[in-house]
Amino acid sequence: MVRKVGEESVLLDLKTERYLGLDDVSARFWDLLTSGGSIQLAYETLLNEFEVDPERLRKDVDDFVQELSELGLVEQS
Amino acid sequence: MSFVLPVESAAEWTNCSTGFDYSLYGLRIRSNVRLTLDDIPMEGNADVELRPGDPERFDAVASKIPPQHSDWIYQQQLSDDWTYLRYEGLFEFLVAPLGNIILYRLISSVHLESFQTYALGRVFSFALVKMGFEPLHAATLVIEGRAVAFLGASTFGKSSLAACFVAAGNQLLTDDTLRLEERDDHYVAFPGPPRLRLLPKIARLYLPNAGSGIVMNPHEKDAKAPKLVFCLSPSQSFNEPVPLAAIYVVAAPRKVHRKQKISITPLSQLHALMNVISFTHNDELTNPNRLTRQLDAARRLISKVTIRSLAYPRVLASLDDVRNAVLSDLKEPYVNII
Repeated sequence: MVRKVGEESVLLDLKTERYLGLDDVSARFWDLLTSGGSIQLAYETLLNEFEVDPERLRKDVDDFVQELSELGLVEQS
Repeated sequence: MSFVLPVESAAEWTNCSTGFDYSLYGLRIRSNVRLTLDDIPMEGNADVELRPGDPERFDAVASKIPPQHSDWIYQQQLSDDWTYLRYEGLFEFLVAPLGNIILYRLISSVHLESFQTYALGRVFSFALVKMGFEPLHAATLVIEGRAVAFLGASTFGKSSLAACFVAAGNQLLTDDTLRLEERDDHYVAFPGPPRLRLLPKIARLYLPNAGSGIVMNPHEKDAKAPKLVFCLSPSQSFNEPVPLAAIYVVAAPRKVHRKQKISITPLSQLHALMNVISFTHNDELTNPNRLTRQLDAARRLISKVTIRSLAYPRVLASLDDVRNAVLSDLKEPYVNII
């Protein structure tokens, strides 16, 4: 469950009872991911929507996916 | 005051036919035990009933407690949605699924203030959450007609700071459990018991007329620095709802160096939200509906109430300066004008 909080968002995982603060980019990434997209597709969409260095975005996405994975919120195949 | 509640509740302390009525946290409480609060007789049903439970029922629950548990306070959510709390050697409670009934059983003869503090404090917080409220862990003062809450865990020094304010003439609204209610564009804070739980040296300094304090449990009695319960006089406490002006999130003592200056700083909305959630009673009731409600309640609160961080060195002599810093901050334009 994601709720907007000012310019940021908070993700609450109801199973693990863990909260995660999200900036606008990671909130959008989560949105894309949970609407059925792949990590690669979400990455490409963010690249189009935000003015960001591709390598920097790739690293941020990888780090975020790793964090989500550690929290049990995504499973990497 | 030195009242002992006998394990076989005597007629002197109980009234099985009608009970005693109290108003607390904005709710009507009917208690079988005569508490040391002002009795306010009322008609109709109470919001919460505090009464003795069937000993066999308590025996049945207690028989299932794992023998290896080490905490002197044991708590468990039961399969029928009742909550069981046991204070080893003192008393045990069952809180109904809807929060409208709190059953108790005395394990030994206990000090009435001890029973009352737990029944109307931590135990009551379960009832509040079950009733749909999101009570905060906050000591709250009335300052110029507005409530000012200090949010934080029980070891953060909130009560000591509250005692400093009381000594300076401000009135305590509640020490530990704060129930808020949203009213149009602001929140109203409700009064709790007129009690402060303090280290004796803090009480001697700020509440010299409050007596010697009451030991809450055998563990406190054996502790090097026990926190005792001190009763406030009517002039030191406030028993009406008050509009909430601001919430200060008290920084953990370990995060503040002794030589650090007092600082009051804004919190991002996300940090304000996470602090409100962290210091909401209580994190044992975590079903999805409650978690969702808690998050949404915190979002609404931070959108309407000024929430700032308060960090100060835990040096007794600096508490008056902390108070002055808060009073200055409350004059700033970002503080809710009600």
